[in-house]
Order: sequence, then C-alpha cells, then structure tokens
Amino acid sequence: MLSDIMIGQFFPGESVLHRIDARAKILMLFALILSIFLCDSRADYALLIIFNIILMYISQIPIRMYMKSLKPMFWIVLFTFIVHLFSGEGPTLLKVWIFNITWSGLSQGIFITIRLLLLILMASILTFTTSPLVLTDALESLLKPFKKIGVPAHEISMMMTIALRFIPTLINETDKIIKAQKSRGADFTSGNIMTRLKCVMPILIPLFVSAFRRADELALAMESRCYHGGEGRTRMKQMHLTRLDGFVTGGFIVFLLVLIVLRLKGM
Amino acid sequence: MAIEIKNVTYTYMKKTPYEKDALKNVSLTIDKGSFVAVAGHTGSGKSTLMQHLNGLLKPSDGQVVVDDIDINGKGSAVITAKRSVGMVFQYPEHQLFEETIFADIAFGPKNFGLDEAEITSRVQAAMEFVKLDYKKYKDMSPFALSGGQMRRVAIAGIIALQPRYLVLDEPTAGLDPQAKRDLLNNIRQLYDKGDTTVIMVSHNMDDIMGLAQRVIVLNNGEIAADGRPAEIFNKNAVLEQAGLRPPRLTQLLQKINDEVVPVKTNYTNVDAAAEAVSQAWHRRGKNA
Repeated sequence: MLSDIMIGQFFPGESVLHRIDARAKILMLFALILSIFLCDSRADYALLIIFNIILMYISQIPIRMYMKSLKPMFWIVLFTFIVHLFSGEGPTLLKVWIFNITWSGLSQGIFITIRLLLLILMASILTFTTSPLVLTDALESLLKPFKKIGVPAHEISMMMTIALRFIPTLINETDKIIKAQKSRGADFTSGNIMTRLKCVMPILIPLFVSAFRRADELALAMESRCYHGGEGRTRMKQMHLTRLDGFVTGGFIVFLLVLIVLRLKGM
Repeated sequence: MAIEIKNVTYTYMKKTPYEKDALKNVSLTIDKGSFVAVAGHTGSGKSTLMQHLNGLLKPSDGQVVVDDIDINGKGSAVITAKRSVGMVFQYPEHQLFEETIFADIAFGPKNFGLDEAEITSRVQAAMEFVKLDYKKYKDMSPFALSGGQMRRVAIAGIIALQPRYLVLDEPTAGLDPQAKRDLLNNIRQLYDKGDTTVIMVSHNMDDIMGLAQRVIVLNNGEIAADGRPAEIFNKNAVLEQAGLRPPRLTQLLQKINDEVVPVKTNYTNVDAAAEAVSQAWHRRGKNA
C-alpha cells in the first residue's frame, strides 16, 4: 500500500537520459516547464506531447511507472478540469443546473489538464532517471553562484539529501507501525471522520518519536565524523560534462527554438 | 487445530525493477500447543512469513489457514481467526503511543470490544506477567521507562489480547543479557501454562536452544531444514549455508567429539551435556 508512493522514486538504468549530467537535466526540465506555460496553440501542445512521449520512450522505463506517478494527482487534475469547465465564457454548450459549460471552458479545461499531466510526467522523467543523491548534488552545484547573495546552497542540498534519504525509512517505519497497531485490533478503514482521525494518533505519535530519535542519532553521527558544513568539502563523485551532454543540450535548444518560432508565427 | 501455510509465495514490489520473491512456495503446519522457532539470517523471509500468519500480508499465491479458516477470506469468522494470532514485532517498544502504560496495554483489548472490567483485569494480568508492578507503573508514561521496560510494556499489550498463537519476531534483539533472560523465561512460563502456541523468530540459536521443540530454518524464502532442535543443530552444512551457526553448546560438544573423546552432540541442556562429557572422559580413562 505505502510502497506504491512514487515520489522521488529512481529506476537505475543505462539509457541516454540516465547518462546525461544531472545539472543539464535540471536546467532542461526548468526550460521545458517554462515552455509548457508559454504554449497556447494546439500545435504547441502536440509538439510538447510528442516530445514528452519520445523522452519517456528513451528513458526505457515501463510506461506503467509513469501512469503510477500520475495516480496521486488524479483528484487535483480532475478538480482543476471541472473548475475550468464551468468558468468559460461564450455560447453555452450544455447546461447543468445553474452552471454553463461552454466551448471555451471545455478547451481551457482540456489544455490545463494536459499542462498538469505534462508537468508531472516531465518531473517524473527527471526523478526516475536521476538518483536522488546525484540530483541534490547537481542542485547544490547549480545554486553555488547564488551563494554570494546569501543562498545557503550546501545546507539546502544537504537538507534535501537527508529528507530524501529518510523518505523510504519513514515509509517503512510507518508501514511497520500500522501493521503493529493493526495486530492490536486497530481499524483504520471504517468509521466517520472523527473516529478515523483518532485512529491516526497511534501511528503519528510513534512515528514522531522515532523521527526525532533518528534525527538525534544522525546529528550525533555527523558530528562525530567532523561534519562542519560545506566549507572545503570535496566529493567522491565529481560531475563532469561530456560530449553526450553537449549533444543532448544542443538538440534540446533546437527543440525550444522550434517552439519559439511556432509561437512567433502564431502571434 | 493448527496454522497451516499452504504453498505460499510472496513477491515484494511486484511488477517493478525491484521485484523480489521473499517466499517461494512455502508449506508448513504449526500444530496447536507447540513451541516453534523460525531461524534464518536477515532477508531470509522469516519476518515476511510471520506477517502472513495474521493476515497483515496477503500471499501472492497460496493460502494461510488458521484453525480451519482461510484468513484471507471473508466473514466474521475470519476476524476471530486473525485475532487469535498475537503478533509481537521487532522492537515492539516503537509502537507505544499512549499517555499511560495502562492505556497503552488496554489499546488492543479496547479495540477488540471488551468491557471495562475485563480490560482492567487483563491489563493487570499482563503487567504481572511481564513483571511490571501494576500500582507503581500503571499511570506512568511509557516513554519514561528504560528500553527493556518499554519492550515489556509492548509485549504486555499483546499478552492482554490473550492470543492462542503468539508470534514473536526477534523478541530479544538489543536487550541486555539480564533483560533477555527474563524475557525468555517469561515466554517459557506462558508456554508452560499450556494455552498458548508460541512461534518465535530468532537468528540466535542459543536463545532457541532449550525453548523450542521444533526449529524451522529459512534460507532465501525457502525452508532449508525443519525438525527437532537437537537434530537441526547438528546439520552444520545446512546451517552454514543459511548464514547461521549451531548453538555454542553444540559447537563445544562437536569439538570435544572430534578432538577429545567420542560424545553425543545432540544435547540441548548444559547439565546433561556436562554429565555426558564427564562420563565419556571417565570411560576413556578406564579404557586406556
């Protein structure tokens, strides 16, 4: 049940997407997300969808995994779709009680849905093909220039590393506590909201206790290995840009240019 | 009356690159009134197997039957069957959450829908059983106790459910020798009373020795050996392959047998073993 959570899930592999530099990947994802928000014609969307499908194919990760990553967002996406559906203007297409569904509302809703789905899928492509550790390292490296204006780049990435590191641990822990309480007859699936909320306490309290204990132990362990922040710290795995990165980034820039040209022509 | 595990296979993370069979077609019958030890190294599937016994995990394939009821079926009989299996997890003290020790031990009985008087008497009996003074401790916070005491509270929480089958997953892990001895003695007393079938998971053969009547060795999700302790302890090759070692007493007897005088190596009691060694020694003296 809990193991179905796909956040930050990484699938080791050998595809091109696995091999390119994580920094390049993050920047490209960033540019892609911006481009999603810039597009507004059908051609733009078609292009992005095709590009996205190609990326998913290249990643060599089963399509089922991508579908799974969409699952937790289903209700949010549905909600946004419905809101847009009813908030369009123009001639009425269908009348439901006091709400009007219009053509513009419908197309808005569909576009927004596609945008959200693309966003999630693209983020998934990044996290599926990049190990969390590499990801945070890349982030630290990208944030380094901002250190001068007081952004604690190393601390942010260390915090992210620790957080990511503990997601599976805490999921395991939660799973174990739920099972333990179930064995004591706790029932988490029936009753009204109040009784269900009460049922959460036997899980939350032990979880907090263990999270604090772990935090304490980790702090001690880091300190006893002389951790003193990012100053003068070296890395076992240095990041290097390769020719592959150049190729991929080049191709990507071409794609963006096409998108921009399309957009300018549309205006 | 028994727990029957029929051709159970369990696959973790099905349909992902991390897919792994934790149990491979395991079949096993645990008779009522027995004391069974399940041994195996980390990752051998013993914890996974235990979680099938009260339906926490559903087998990917196969059946788990408790007292003639398939516990992955439907109906009120299934709930009763599941509830007849009490489960003490590894490090059970991590599941404590209530404000007082009384409330924590009463959590299970309350969920089972027992009435106040029955709950109080069960908590009292359970605390007495784990040697925690009822008056002194009942209103204390469980978080104010030492690790060993917390574990006793957690175990009392399961004892209070009065399970017919008690499953303990590495109950002595991380305890100091005294607390360990006390806990094992407690478990033995409970078993000797005769209403409880005990299934204990451990990789410590010394703990198993002298307690269990039957030892099941798991390796890689399969049963590598199953039999009486004295018999299993002398299967060095099987044990080694499963990442285990015989109890220290057996190791000592084997060494004496190989290098000093011939002596039987299947003793599970220190006194009996010492007696046998001394007799063998004297016999040698006479023959020489």
